[in-house]
Amino acid sequence: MKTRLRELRARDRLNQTELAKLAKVSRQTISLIEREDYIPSLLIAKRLAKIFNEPIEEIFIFEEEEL
Amino acid sequence: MKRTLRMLMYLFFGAIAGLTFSIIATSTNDMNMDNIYYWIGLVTLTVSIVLAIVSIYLYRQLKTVASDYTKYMDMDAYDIYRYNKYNDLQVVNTTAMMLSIIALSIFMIIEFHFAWILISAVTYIVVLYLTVVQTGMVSILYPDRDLPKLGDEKYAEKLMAASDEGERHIMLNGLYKTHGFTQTGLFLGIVILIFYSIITGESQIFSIILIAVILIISQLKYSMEIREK
Repeated sequence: MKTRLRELRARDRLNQTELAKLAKVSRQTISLIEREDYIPSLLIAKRLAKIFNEPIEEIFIFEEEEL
Repeated sequence: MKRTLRMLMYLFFGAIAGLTFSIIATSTNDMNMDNIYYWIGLVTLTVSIVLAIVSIYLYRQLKTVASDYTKYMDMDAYDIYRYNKYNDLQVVNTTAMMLSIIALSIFMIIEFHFAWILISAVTYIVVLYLTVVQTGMVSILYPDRDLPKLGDEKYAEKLMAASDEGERHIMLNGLYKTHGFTQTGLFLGIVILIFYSIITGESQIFSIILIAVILIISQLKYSMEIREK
């Protein structure tokens, strides 16, 4: 899975801690997702989508064989 | 198959280590072992005292930064800083505590001068006190989080409940690797003790049984925790 989280965070001028507060998670969770070390739950993905006003599939991009 | 090969490898390394220790121990027969233990006790005691001082220094440093981090760094850097610094503190305290216990046990078992026993015991108590006090630092570092206090009856459950999924992921990875390392380390320890007992004639059977029982209980505890979930 690839993610555009870092790019979107830069677009909205948010640091990891600020985004973490908005998404009601820890900064470590944001960092893990950005490094593509962890696939978030649907709930967190949905919160992130809401924060960036983007559909989930525009933030998290899966390869065909992953689905 | 891989697991069996790994166990054989550990057995081999354990045997090598056991043989080495035993050769050193038998070659120092004419030396006074109590004297060697005395120096080991002194070194571990000195290091634990130094670590206690380091612990106080790190604690004060962290407290100063935490009082107003904006003077020193931005939000993200501060979050990484407090997380890593607090981890460092825990490593320093645990190491100091274990070393002071080693020193205390050596001075008690070998029956050296009472002053050494007293200094070791005081060092241990000081480090224990520092650990307890510094654990309270969590509420200063993370004022907006409802984290459990050390000694809380359901500490593990409450910590899990207070952590989010990313933190739990980090903890799980860390704990799983640590569990594997501990199991391997204890198994290697048994092999070393077997060879040490055979070659030096100093029976370590009690330690071997004790470690084996801890390994079995640890595995049973894990199996019980994950069973029928």
